[in-house]
Amino acid sequence: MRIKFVFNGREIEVETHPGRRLIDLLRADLGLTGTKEGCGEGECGACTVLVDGKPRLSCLTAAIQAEGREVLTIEGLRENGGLHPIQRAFVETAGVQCGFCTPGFIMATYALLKENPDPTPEEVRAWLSGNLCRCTGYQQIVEAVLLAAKYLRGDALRVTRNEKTP
Amino acid sequence: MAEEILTAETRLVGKEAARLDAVAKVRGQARYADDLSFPGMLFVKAIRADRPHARIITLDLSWAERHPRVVCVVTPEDIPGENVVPVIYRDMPLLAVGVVRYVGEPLALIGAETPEAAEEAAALAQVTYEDLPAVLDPLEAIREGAPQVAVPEAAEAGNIFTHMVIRKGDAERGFAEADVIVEGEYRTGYQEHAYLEPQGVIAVPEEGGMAIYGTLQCPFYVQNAVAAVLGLPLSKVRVVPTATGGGFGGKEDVPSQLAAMAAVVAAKSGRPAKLVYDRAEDIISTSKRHPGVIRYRTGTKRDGTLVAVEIEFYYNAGAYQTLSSAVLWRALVHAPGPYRIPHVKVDAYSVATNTVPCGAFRGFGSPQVIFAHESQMDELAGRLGMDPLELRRKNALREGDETATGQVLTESVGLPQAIERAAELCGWKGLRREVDEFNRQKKFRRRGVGISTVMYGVGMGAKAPLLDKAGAYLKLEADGSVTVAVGNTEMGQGATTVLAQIAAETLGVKLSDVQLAPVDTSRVPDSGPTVASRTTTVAGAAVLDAARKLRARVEAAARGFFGVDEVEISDSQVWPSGEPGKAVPLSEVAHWMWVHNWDLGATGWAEGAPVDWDPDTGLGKAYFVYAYACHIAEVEVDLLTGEVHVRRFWAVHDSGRIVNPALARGQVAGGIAQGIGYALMEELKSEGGRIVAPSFTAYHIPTSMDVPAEFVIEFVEAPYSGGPYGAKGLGEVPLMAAHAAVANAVSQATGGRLREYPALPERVLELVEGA
Amino acid sequence: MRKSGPVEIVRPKDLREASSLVREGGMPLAGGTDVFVRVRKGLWDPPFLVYIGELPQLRGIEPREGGVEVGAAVTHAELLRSPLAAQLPVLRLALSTIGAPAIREMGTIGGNVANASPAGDSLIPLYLLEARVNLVGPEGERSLPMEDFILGPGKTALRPGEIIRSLWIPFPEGKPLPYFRKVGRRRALVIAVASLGALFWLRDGVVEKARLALGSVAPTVLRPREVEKALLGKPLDPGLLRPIADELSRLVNPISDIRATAAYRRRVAGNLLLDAAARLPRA
Repeated sequence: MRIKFVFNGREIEVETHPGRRLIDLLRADLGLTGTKEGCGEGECGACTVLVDGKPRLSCLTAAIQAEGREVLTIEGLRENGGLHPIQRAFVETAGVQCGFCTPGFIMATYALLKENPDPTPEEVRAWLSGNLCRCTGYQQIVEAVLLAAKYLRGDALRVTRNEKTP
Repeated sequence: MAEEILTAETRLVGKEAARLDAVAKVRGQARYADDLSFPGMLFVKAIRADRPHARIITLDLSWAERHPRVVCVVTPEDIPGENVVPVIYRDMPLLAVGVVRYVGEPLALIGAETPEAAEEAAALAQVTYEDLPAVLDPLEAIREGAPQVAVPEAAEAGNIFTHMVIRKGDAERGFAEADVIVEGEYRTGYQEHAYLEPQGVIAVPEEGGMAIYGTLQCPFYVQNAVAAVLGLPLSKVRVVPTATGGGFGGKEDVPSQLAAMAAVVAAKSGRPAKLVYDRAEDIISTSKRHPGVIRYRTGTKRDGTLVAVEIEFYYNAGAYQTLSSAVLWRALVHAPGPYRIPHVKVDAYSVATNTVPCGAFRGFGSPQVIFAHESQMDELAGRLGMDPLELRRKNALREGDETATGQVLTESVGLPQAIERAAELCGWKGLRREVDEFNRQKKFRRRGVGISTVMYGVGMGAKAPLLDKAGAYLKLEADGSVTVAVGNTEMGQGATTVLAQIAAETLGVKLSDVQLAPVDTSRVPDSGPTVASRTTTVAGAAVLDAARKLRARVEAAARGFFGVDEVEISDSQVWPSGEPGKAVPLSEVAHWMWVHNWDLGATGWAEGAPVDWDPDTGLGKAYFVYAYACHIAEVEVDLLTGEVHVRRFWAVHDSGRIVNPALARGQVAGGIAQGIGYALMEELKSEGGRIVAPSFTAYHIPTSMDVPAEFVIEFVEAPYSGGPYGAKGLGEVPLMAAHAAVANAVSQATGGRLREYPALPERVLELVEGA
Repeated sequence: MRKSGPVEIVRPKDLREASSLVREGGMPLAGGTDVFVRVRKGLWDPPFLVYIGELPQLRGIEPREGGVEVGAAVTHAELLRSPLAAQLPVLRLALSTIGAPAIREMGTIGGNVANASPAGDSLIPLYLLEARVNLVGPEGERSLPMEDFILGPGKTALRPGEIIRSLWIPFPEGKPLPYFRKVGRRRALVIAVASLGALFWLRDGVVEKARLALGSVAPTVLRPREVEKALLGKPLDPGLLRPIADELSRLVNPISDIRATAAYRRRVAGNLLLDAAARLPRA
């Protein structure tokens, strides 16, 4: 069957099996592997994407549930061709280690900051509680989200570093 | 290492540079194992035993073979080389022959055109067994008449894989001199690595050999394993780690097994073969932290001076040796703790059972015994009426002291400073008063403060000094940029960034001019395994060595370029000494060197300082240097439910010079979270040798809500003369220290004594109600 | 063994078609948070799935007859955002502990009810508020109280071809004090080991009326009416409630499973009543 949806800002139509998971559609059919599968049963958040601006687990979503909706993945997140402020913040606070959970965290953060541009650290922790990270202990991820919130509100200049981020 | 390097002003070392790989990772561009595909690629599925111990009577794959999308089926007879997963011993077959020894042991392999077809075909395999008596508990496995699990050639006696000892002083005399003696048995269960990226590899046949891509820590181990099963020379197997989504020891030896499986399918079919586990298969079939039964007896003088310790512990190794002998050795050396103890007696056993082989996990056998020794310290403090911090302060190792293996610590012992700084940061005395006050006021809640101190032997140590070496290759490109090649992997810990900082610092170039070459065993020097918190120290020293040689050559060339006797290089600029106005970009000098046929490459080499160890007494110089830490945790226990929350945490580490504080803080915070999980919630249940509910639904690791909102992390830097810029290892230490501080805090809050991990609400409620 | 082949998903155009597809043996699929997991693990093996998650008849949140009618395919997150739910604080307390944000954006109230898990977090407030389940099927519509709809773990009164259309949740009289607490191994992303929800109406410092509902301590969510009665006339003072808490522990009927033992669940069931008393204002 064919389904039509807006994918990373562009309307597309794809042929798929009714019953295919959204994550397989993204990774195997569309060849975009930024969305990760960590558990396949909605317990880790690595596969988080946005559907109509809301976080969804693409491993528990049927491809046909994307029909007529807007799907945003990590590959669609950029700003003026460069890093999105959320991505920049994750780089600058060292909120990335192995990186496997990172796309899911960034997409979840995107949804949070749309809904709540000035979250408290507690709100950040509560919102991200469905995204597991085994490397960071979450400290620098929470810092990244708070920094990203500042960037997006426009009340912080870019943090200066000894070495510029590439 | 020259003294000046320890005190030198640095431009990059000690600075918070951003990770080299961060941008690719935040964009979703980093390629992990399952992100790669090759034309014609098959999908591999293992057919696994569902009995803990059985004779294989028949293995019928005819239905599987008839599946229309199955391309090849592999049984032991199809293995062109040796049917083995070589680790330390060679007792573990790649595919079981005759007998299966644990649930999940691979029997045969399917290669199919789609992952679905591979699964369907695997389900069509028909195996009949004759069950053999199984033994699942290590204490039962060592009883007389227990079923024989261990392959006899790999075991010392019966099911005892390995027994190791320390005999220092005279423990009996020590206890006779002691005024206070405490005694206890401690139990710990499995801990699952729960790296977010499951295991995965792809084997790709190529001219005359095999290439392996995968998520892994030790490319040279994998190379060795694949060469063995294919019967190929090492030169015909190359291993290319992909981006690796967490390891924590779980991707030390296990990827050898996956790679060998994928490689035999690729060899038989002549097509690329991908083997990626889902979470359930990963939990069922891969290594974990060894469960332990640990008995301690510790004696002190009335003033708290430790005089003797007697320790006996049994680790459940699972059905095959894999890394257990090495894990046991680290546990043995670390069992007495970071204390001065004149009389020490330790007996360590690793025991074979019909369960999945356990292996490397951050801390490598030490967290289990640390739980015990730090519990003993608190129990002693209680009996002595002494502050637990004071007891540790009194006994902590200092420079010039002798360790439990009789090693005299000649330098870089930052433990006393770590204890003092941790006490200062948390305001120890005030904190304890605050907690007492809270506990007086609240009816259903209690807070507790716990402390732990640990030491960590950096590197492989005296049991495997052959692995404590590293090569590095540096190349100055003709445009002044620099390529660094080592064989260590980046699994999230930040090694590539730290090594680039060391290279850039030493060469005098900008960090942005340095790039790590992608690891490929055919193109990078052997720098040993990426384990044992050794990469910064040992591979860093090799990079430093190469960078110094290369810098000397650039300086020589630059002297010719400028026609002067002395030049300076910094920040990718070169100038005649004293004439910074004449500075030119390094790229000009590099280009000049290239034009004039200078050798632009340099190799570096490093070895761990000599170690030695006597297996009969367990005495000797076990490790070339140690890292130290002091952790303090504050918990709150709900007396009605037994739920525990870690409220605040203070961690102070001595890992020598810290090369990148932001990354180091990340290592510490991550290790603390894993330690909180180990102490409080991570439990893997099995019944009859089968792991029950192998999923993240049942195996809980901490979420962002389960770690403290307040983390204070600091470093006291006692530089090590053998490490680059004075650095020692860090990676494993935070986990080792964290769980014990949490456990002691739980005990303090409940008034009971936690003797078994994890401290689930149920267990804590029992402590509360029993106290 | 993981179910490998994808299961067929059919998308009906309206409720009538959905109902006839379900009658043919199709399993309704709304949010997918539970159905997908079980189908993939091979625990459920329906011939096909019927995607009802976007049927307009199942999607509204409307005030009706002194309460609110919530379409079965309304997600937990949508309900949490609804101003009508703000009038039902105990519902909000429970819904906000379900899974994590993405799970709440996906999972539906109807799905949670149809699942009939004794650990279902949204069921607790639905029992407390005495909600009704509105069903639609080949023989027309009918409505059942929660307690008559859920018959056992995973068992409901659904007849062949019947679908949950909506939940009707009445606003309680007055302003009862709401309480909800779920006990587990960690503070998020967890299935309840035991849970208690409660509504207390106080007058002159004593309980005038009380409703309790417990999760994960019996085959279904439990309303311990004897204990609700025993609380009448008592102040919410944990020091005085121990005998009633012990009575509650005796009443429950838990099992031992991978998450906890029956003995622990029994103990905690009573203790949660003390916790409610300790946390709520006494007047």
